[in-house]
This record gives sequence, C-alpha cells and structure tokens, in this order.
Amino acid sequence: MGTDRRQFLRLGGASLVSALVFGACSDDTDPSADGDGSGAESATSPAPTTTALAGPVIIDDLSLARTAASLEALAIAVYGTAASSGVVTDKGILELASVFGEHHQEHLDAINDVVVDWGGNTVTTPNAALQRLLIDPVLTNPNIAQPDVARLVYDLERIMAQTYTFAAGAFSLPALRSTGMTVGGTEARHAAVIGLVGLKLSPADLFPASFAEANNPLPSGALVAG
Amino acid sequence: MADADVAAFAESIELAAVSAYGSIAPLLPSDLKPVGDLFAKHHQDHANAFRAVAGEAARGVPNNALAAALAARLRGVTDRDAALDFAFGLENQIAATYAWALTVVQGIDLARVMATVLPIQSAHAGVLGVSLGKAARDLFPTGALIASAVGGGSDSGEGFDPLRFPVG
Repeated sequence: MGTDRRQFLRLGGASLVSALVFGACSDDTDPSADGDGSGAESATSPAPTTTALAGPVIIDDLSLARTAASLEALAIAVYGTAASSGVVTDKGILELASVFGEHHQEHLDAINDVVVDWGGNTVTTPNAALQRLLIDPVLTNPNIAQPDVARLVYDLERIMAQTYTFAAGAFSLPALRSTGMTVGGTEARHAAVIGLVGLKLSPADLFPASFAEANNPLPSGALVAG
Repeated sequence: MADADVAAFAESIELAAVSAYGSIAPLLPSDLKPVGDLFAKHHQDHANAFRAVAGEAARGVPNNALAAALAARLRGVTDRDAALDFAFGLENQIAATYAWALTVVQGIDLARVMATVLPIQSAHAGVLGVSLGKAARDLFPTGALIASAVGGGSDSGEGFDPLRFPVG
C-alpha cells in the first residue's frame, strides 16, 4: 500500500482534498499509478508556462487538458455506477446524479475538442490514479451506504473544481483559462448542491474561505501526458 | 481593455453585489439571513482582491450603471423567494462576466484571482437555487457550462458587458 493510500484511509473522506494535496506534494511516487501508464507525476504549484517535472511528463496546455478529460471520464463512470448500484435510493439525489452525469459528458466532449485542437489524442479512460485512491476504496466497500456515495461525489466534484482553478493559473492562453473555468465553475456548483442536498452541510461548511483553492489537488501520478 | 481596467471593472461589480445583498437582507428569513451576510462578505473580499490588482485604476465604489439596473430589478422584489431568485440571477451573471473576462485578461495575476472567485459565485448560485427548491436542471440555467457571453444585463444568461456598465 502506497503512502497516498495510507494517508487517505487514515484521514477519511472529510479530509480527502487535503490528503490529496499532501499526496501531490509528497515525493512518494508510484510510477504505475499514472493516468495513462506513462509514469507521470503531478506538480506542487501552478505554473504560468510550461514547466518541466522530474519525470517525463511536462505540465503544459495539452497535458492539463488531457488530465481534465480523464477526470471527466472518471466522473461519468462514478455517476453511472452510483445511479445503477441500488445504493442510492433518494429520488432527488438520483436526479442530481443523472443531470450531473450528463454535464460531465458535455464537459468531456468540450475538453476533448481542446485536446484535438492542440493536436493531441482524445481521452475517454477514467483517471487511474484518482480511481485507485479515491473511488475504488469506497465503491468496493461491501457496507457502502447512500451517504458514502454522496460524500464520494462531493469530494470528487471539489477535486475537479480545484483542478480547473489550478489549471487556469497554468494554461498559457486566455481562451483556455475561460473554457476551463466555464467547466470548473459548474463542478463547484455540483459540489455545493451535493453538499447541501446529499450531505446536509450548512452553507458555512461549503465555504471555508472566500476564495476557491488553487493548489493542484491531484495525487502523484494523476497527470496524463500530452 | 488593460488588465488593470478589467480588475477595476470587477471591483465595481463586486461592490454593486455587496450593495444588492444589503437591499434584500430585510426580506430574508432568519435561517437565510446569515447566508446572505456570508455571500455579501465574500463579494466584499472579492472586491478587495480585485482592487489590489487594479491599483490606481480602482475606484472603490459600486458600478453606477449596474447599481441602477439592479435597483430597477429590486423594485419588484418584495418577498423571500423573489429575493433569492434575484440573487440567484445576479450570481449567475457575475460568474458569466468572469468567464468572459478570462478571455481578455492577459496577465496571470488577475486570471488567478478571477479563477478563485468564479467558483465561489457559481456555488453561491447553487445554494440559492437549492433554497428556492429548484429542480436539478434548473439549478444550471445555462446548462453544463457557465455562460461566457456578456450583454446589457437584461438576459440572465449573459454577464455584464463593461462597455454597457462602465466603471464609475
């Protein structure tokens, strides 16, 4: 079991985003856990222009877009599983899952358009690193209950929103920053709605600060090569 | 527009939002009053952040044209639901304004501030929409993406055009 996984299990879902930020900042790299098998490693801070990492992957517009696409593909899969699992029985939450799943499909299409524009190959495979660290431990739990699923998608949406905010500080072109935030803003609303409806959080809980987090929230190995 | 001018415009929009939340505060019930106060504080903090980027271009006052447009809207706002719906529309339009602004901002400093503000405004809209009991799809009036067009303010699916809402 890698350090990232141990941190996740010890801290639990409530501290998930913090745990993943820690994971992104740690030097415990598992080359097998990257999204595309390239041994990619995530960065620890935003970069206004192309930034070379220790590994073979460069954080640039294309790798950020392909990583975002892999997160969208993961969200589509998670919402699909959540809706069909029988674990979620609340009709209101099922309706949210249906609509949010559709949104993520549109996001995937929009982001893949960017990928193609930049000469890259489209991504339709869920992000393997995040699936291993965040999704699988919850969805393979035989005692999983509806609140666990709500917490899972809440955490996933928060991570995705934060990823787009991080990317907006790293994309090289204004148009990419805007496109990313038209998606990231929607993920932030997803999270707020799930927090209120699925987890019964208070508005104060949803806004620990006046500004969204902008650090890279992804675990080691989540960056997908361009 | 130079980045400093965009930041000054954003500051003026945020200050107009602070003022608008003050106007609807008396219509909010006790359970939602703290929410309105929290969102107003966020907008004030956002104004302060934009002012820091705008430097000497900042005016430190609400956008006059927007304040006038919002005052006209507020004349028809007389109860809880109307107040929440007003705020829901305003938050959506401010988020759209920033999605558009990010297409013209050149410097990374302002882009980063805007990228940390936009998700908060969008989440505000989510909270307000849930408080209104909106259906899942209606919580996202522009669909899967935040709008990134601006106009004269009458279309709730568009943000505020700085040419129609000049700073001052």
